[in-house]
Amino acid sequence: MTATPVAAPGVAVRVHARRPAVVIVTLSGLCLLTAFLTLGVGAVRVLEPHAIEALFGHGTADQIRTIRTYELPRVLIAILVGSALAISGGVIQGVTRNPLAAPDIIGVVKGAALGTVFLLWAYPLAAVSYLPVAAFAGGIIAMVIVYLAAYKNGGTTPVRLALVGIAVSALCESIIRYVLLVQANGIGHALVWLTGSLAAIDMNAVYQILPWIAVILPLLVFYAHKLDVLGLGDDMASGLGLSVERTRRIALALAVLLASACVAVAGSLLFIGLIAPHMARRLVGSRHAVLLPTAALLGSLMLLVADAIGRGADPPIELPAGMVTAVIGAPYFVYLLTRSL
Amino acid sequence: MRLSASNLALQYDELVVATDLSIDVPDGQISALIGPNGSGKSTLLRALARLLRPKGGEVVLDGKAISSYTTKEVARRLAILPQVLISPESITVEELVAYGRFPQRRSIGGMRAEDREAINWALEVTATSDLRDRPVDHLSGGQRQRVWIALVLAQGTDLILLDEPTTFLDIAYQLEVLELLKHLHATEGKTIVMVLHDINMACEYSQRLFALRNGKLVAQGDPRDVLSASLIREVFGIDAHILEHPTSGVPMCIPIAAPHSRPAEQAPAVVPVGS
Repeated sequence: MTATPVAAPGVAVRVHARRPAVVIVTLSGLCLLTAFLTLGVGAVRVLEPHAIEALFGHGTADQIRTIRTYELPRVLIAILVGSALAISGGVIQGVTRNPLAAPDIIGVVKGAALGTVFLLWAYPLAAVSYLPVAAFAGGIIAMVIVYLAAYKNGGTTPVRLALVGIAVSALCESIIRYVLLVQANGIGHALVWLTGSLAAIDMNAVYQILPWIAVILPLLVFYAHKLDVLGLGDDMASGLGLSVERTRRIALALAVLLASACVAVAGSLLFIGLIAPHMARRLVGSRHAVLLPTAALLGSLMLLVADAIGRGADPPIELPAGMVTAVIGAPYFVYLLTRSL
Repeated sequence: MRLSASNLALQYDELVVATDLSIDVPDGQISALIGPNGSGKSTLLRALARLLRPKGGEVVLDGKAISSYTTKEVARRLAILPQVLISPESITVEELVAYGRFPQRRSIGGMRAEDREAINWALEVTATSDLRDRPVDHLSGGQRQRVWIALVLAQGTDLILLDEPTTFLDIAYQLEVLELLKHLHATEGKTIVMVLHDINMACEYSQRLFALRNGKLVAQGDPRDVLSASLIREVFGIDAHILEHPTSGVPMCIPIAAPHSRPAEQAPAVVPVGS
């Protein structure tokens, strides 16, 4: 958007939006390749091409078991969560018209994390399967608080929404820290999960998140053109016959559901939701019908690589993928900030 | 009369802009809203386009309260060009103008032949056909404003409202934009309502002048009948000479700076050496 300094002409290297199909096909290929290549990276290393053979049932029983029960679900989750976070971020950036907004910036990720920490605090023995519910609750409550606090004069402005979101995130973060301080037991579990780890992922997690993605993605595709119109500003969009507040509310709710589902399965993976849509915008422009799929592919790619680095860097120690995304993402975020200030 | 408003009470949050404002927009004419900052002219325009919900009174569009239409129905009857325009990153002229077809398009399905026709016509009439594949952010100020007007035209409405369409443009671009609007009015019979800051431009290009001050309509009518030194004093609080435009004959306003209204400390800070 020309209203944002990030996109000021001459600043960005403009890769023109003429060939989104080429970009999408290339990224899909890269994603698939990375998925196969990272399949065997882990505590028990299964080297290529054995990893792929094992996936299809050839090799030793150990290899087949390692690949199918430990590595395959991780790769699948990396693809699903990476794309869901990226799409959630892309939608939130479109709705708030703020290129620095993302589920982590407007409080959803921290709210969802707080929801689960609260659950572990109140019911230390709660079954792991309740975590997603708590994450949804936390994410949605945080988003509603952000939305209500930012609501003024019959609407919200992008800047106000982002500012309130950052404040609420900080508040959630400090409550999480307080709870972790006063509550000694269960800290280890909560901490590993909070940094965003795919270590404990199994096929159940895949089945857990799949229905959400299968339902929400088509709905967001349906909204893509409306999000484009919203990008023209509230008055112009309204003048063109778009119900601005309703569109914004529904799109935001869908994006929050998507991000909360991710936090519930993989913890607070930061920066993917912020950066993937940003890179996608550079590659294919701002039309959501091509922006969102491109962001999804980039998000998958980022999380696949981050998780592979996390588990392959120093085996058998597993670095949480969220730590890796933060190490890569934080400097990029700073770079974006310096560009926009 | 297709568009009118009666007894509007307009406010943003606590800020009351108008308490009892009525206006009848003359069909098939170019109307200009003038007045000082904060007089309520943009607010009135936004209320007429249903971008702002009045606290009292009502806007009537085609015989029905505008609040009884859906947002999309309003957009099929009336187009508005807001003051702040945001063009999406790296969008081309044609892509931007295509947004004008949003009110007519269904949620699913591509563009129909009539959408393409409307877009082509809008590009042609605003003389932006040659620019259709150019990125909007590479255009000059005047070209860009013409493209935005093309978007509004692609909407295909007979009623067009524009909120300060010439702001931030230099005088040549201002003329370019206003000549385009005049042409649209002459050839297509569009009803145009615009907020303008420049009184002389408003007199030159409108058939009906609405002068606002503090949320009240102070005067309305043909600029030739309405514009006077006393009106300028009443509306803007300044003295002015009213002359006749040498070629068009419409009244022109030449403001007279009152010496006492200048802050005393505005004396030159640097005294030239040797003076």
